[in-house]
Amino acid sequence: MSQPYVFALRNALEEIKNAEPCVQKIFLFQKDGEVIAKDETMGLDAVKALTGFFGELMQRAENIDAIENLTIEGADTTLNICCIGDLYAGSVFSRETDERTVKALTKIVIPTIIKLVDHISPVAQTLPTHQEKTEKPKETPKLSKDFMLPKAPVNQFIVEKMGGLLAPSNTVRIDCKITDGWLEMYGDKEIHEVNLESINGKTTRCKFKPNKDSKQCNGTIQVPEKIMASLKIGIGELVMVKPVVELEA
Amino acid sequence: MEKKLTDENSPAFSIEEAPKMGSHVIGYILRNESSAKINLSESDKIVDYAMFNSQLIESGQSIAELLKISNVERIIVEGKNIKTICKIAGENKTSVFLNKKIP
Repeated sequence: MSQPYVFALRNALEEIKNAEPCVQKIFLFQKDGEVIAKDETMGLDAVKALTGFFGELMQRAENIDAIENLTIEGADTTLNICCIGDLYAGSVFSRETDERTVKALTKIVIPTIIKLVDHISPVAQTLPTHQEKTEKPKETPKLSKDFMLPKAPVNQFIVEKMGGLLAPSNTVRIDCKITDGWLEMYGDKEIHEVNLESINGKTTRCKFKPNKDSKQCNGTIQVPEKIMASLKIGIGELVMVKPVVELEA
Repeated sequence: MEKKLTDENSPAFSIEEAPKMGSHVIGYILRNESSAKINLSESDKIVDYAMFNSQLIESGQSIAELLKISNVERIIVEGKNIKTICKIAGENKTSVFLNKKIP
C-alpha cells in the first residue's frame, strides 16, 4: 500500500476523531492483519495483537459465515469493527453516544472515506513527488524518424492476369504513377514489397515492379496466377495494395 | 444459589422456544463454567457453531482487555447470512444465532 494512501487515510481518521469527541479510538487494518492506520492513543503492538485475535475468530467463522461486522459492548465503551472491501475499520465509542452517530460514522463516513481514498490513490501514485521533481531532469522520449512517416496509402486496383513465360511468380506489376508517388512520399526509404488484400480479407505480401506502360495498366494490377490463387481472386476483381516501407533497424 | 444449565432446570425457558418461534432463529448455545446446552436447527454444523461460539467469547474478551473495555456485556457478530448475539452475564453466556435472510 502506497505512502500517500496510508497518509491520507491516517489524516482522515484523525480528523474524524477530532470532530467527534465520542470516538475514543480508531484504527484500520487489512484482512491479512497488517495495520494500515491507527490513532496516537493506541500502541502498534496492541493493534497487532487485536488483529491476531480477530484473525483467529475469522478462521473459526469460515465454516459458518464471513464476518462483516463485530461489536463488543462493555459497561462504558463499545468497539465496532466493520469490513469495508479488503479493509477492516475499528472504532471505540463511549456507550453514551447516540446510536445514529455511531451508525453514521461506521457505516457511512468511514467507508466513504476509504472508497474515496481508494479512488484518488492510483492518481496520487502516478504523480511525481517534490523530491523526484527536483532530482530527476525531465526526460524527453526519443522518437525514431520512422514514427514521423506518413501513413502508407492504400490503393485499389482491378486484377489482371500477368502473362509471359519469364514472368516471376512472386511479383506484381503496378502503374508507375502510383509507385512514383510512393517514392516521393517516403523519400529515401526503400520500398521493395507491397501488401495485397482481397475483398474477402485474404492477404499476402509480394514484390512489385512499376509498369511504365500506363495505357496497359491504368487502374489495374497485373498479378501472377500463383498469387491470385493464394488470394482466392480472379480476373476483374478488386484488390487493395499497400506499400511496405522498410524501417531502419 | 447458582443454577445449572440443564434441561430440567434452565434459567432461560423463553430461549428454548426460540427455534420454534420463527425460521430466522437457527439456534442457541447456553454456557457456563461447568455445563453447556446447544439447540440448533442445523444439526450437521453443531461442532462448527460450538467452536465459533467459544472462539467468539474468548477473542471478544481478549480484544476488550486490549482496548480496556471493562465488563463485556454483549458481543454481536454479523456475517453475510448469519447474525450472532452473545450475552454475557457473569459466568453465564447465552448465544443466539439468527438467519439474516428471513425465508
